[in-house]
Amino acid sequence: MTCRSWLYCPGNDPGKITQAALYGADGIILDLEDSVAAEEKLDARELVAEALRSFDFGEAQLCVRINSLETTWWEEDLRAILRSPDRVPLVRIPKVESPETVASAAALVAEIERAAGRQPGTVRFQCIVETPRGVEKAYSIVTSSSRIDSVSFGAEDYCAQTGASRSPAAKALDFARSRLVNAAGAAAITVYDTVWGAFRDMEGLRDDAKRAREIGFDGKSAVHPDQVALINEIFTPSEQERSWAKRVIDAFDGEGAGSRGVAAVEGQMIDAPVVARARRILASPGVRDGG
Amino acid sequence: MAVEHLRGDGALRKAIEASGLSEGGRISFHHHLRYGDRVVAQVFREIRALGVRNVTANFSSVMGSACSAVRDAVVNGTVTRIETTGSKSPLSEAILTGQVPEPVVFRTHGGRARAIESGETPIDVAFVAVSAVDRAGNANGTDGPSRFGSLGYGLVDARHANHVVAITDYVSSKPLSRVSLPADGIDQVVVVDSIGDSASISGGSLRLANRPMDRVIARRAVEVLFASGAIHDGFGFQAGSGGVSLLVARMVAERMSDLGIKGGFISGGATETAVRMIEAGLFETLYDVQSFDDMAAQSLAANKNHLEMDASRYANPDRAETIASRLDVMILSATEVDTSFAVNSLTGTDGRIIGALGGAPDTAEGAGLTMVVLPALRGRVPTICRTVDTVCTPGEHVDVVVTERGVCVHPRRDELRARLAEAGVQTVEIGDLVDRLYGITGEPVRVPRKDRVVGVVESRRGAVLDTIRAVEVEPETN
Repeated sequence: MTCRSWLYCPGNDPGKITQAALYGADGIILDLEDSVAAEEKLDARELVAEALRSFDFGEAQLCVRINSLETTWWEEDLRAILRSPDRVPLVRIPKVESPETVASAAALVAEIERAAGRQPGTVRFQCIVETPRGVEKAYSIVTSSSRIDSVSFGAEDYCAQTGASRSPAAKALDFARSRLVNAAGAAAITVYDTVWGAFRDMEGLRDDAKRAREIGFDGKSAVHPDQVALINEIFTPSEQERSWAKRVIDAFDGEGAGSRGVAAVEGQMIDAPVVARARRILASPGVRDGG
Repeated sequence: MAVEHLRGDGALRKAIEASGLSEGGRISFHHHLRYGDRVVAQVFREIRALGVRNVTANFSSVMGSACSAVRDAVVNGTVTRIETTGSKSPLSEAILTGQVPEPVVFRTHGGRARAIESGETPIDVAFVAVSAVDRAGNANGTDGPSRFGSLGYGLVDARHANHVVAITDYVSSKPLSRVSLPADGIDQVVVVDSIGDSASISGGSLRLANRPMDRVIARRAVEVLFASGAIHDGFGFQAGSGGVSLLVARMVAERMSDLGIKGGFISGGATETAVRMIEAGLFETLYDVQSFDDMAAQSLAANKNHLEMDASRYANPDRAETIASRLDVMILSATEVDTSFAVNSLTGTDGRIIGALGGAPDTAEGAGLTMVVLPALRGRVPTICRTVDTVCTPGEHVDVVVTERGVCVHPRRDELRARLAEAGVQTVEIGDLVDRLYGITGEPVRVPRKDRVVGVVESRRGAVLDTIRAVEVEPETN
């Protein structure tokens, strides 16, 4: 399922975990990484594992950001969050710079699946690419494993390493963003944009999210609940887009063009890629739910 | 003839002596000075010095340092009976642990006005703090350094007390251009150094809710309000003083502005939000029984559409028509709501007395649509529960409860539920919501109570609605 918004929720805060599903985010990221201090990592891990086992998150898709594979925590993170047989979250892997990182995580996950008697491949990954090296290897990363569900851009480390600016008007991230979008498109997976950290700056968020959508991202992460509604708005196809998509599908299906592979709408040729785009719009969150 | 102005050392004591207050007498205070009140403490100090005991003290409410003064007056035997709409620490602990000899009577604002006007609770001496008097003895709450705005609660006391002592810290050399309490309603004016701390009079306790969860609740409440059809040209609106209620009011204003809706009146405690609404032309009139901030106090003095309203006109159920009975929409806050939709706004889930009845039960009965807004969980405690600790507003006067985890419509309002469904607003049975909350928190355990009744909650017409029994609590210190 594509998510317009992914709301980060610190894994060590039970109050925030119980509220996370109430803000309208399509997806929730229970975080074990940057928002959790080192001395609270173990408590957070158990709390997140318990929440996955027992808490009702409604319709939201669940994801857990584990600690980086450069730390000593990630293996136990994976064992804990994959303990529950009923609910398997998407695993968000931070700081992925190469296919080897994905392979390491995949090897351990395969072992956990085997031990639990689970069908191999059940656990899926969302890789965060957040360094210049990762951006350069984006395509090889996203095609390195069948477990990869999606890829996400992380701008903070990227900016720190490149000197790029994060101001909304800056186009400095366009290259990295475009490269990631292109890689995801080539691999036919979804791609999510980085957070906008200045959570009180809603105009900055609006500009940043709009830019990301123009470039081709499917959604965006949120660091604060107040950002969710705006992100959902930006990543929900407009009335105009919906109407166009519906006309395309009606024309394509109605004229029996499916067999011919081509139709026309208002003087424009409609072929398979255009139909695919229209179907994608109509399947977007916020459209398929009638929102 | 001008009212006598008493000043200097011993002035207040002299006025009390002249009032004829004696053993077992009945006195009253308003709470317009809110958390900055210095009058209550001064009066009790002098009453004690005069050796007058066994007094019944009737407050429109009591808060801030006045609570310490009243608690001390209870401990030293000056006060043995208290009537009020609410209480705060440390008086609350004194009540709960049975230090007040007689059960405290909790009344609504409208119920208090009714009880005073009907003679059910007569007042021998009303101590009425005013922020200004002129030389003739006319008084108001809008001039002077300690201005607090509307004198809505004090006006009822002054009208019906046998003796009225106006206490002020400002005498205007010119006649007051705006008079709330005319000189002929005052027996004595006492001029003291200070009636209150102006910073605490005009702010502090009222804050616009600012947490993301509050905004979720408020947005949902606004959605329900507009879907209900209750917001239309000419409608009457009131929002309580809770942070989420105020946020709802602000969001309603924004939506009214977008839709070009103009309301008839907004009422109750006046706030900056309400003042901005009349200034923007969103409502024709603001009826103000109590000014919650300095902007409201200033507006009352300056804006002809901002009118002072006494507590009787506001909500006395004996009157044929009140502002409360003309309301189309009332937004309430609460400490908890139960599956019968009964509202508790007085005691906390831990049994402490932390709030007040206020005007909530009055307006809930009068309004066309009464909505309670509150978070379903406060910390780890569910606020939607099987049975509230104290019934303040009966469930039959509540139409809809809005939380972040669901909107619940009272079963007698099926047409409202249908209207909401038509507008795409999902609702949930309140019992199901309680089950869901208890599933998260476990079944809450109430604080054990003793047999002794320490408080009686009256309905607005004077019937016993509920009682508060003593608990073991550690007194808090201010």
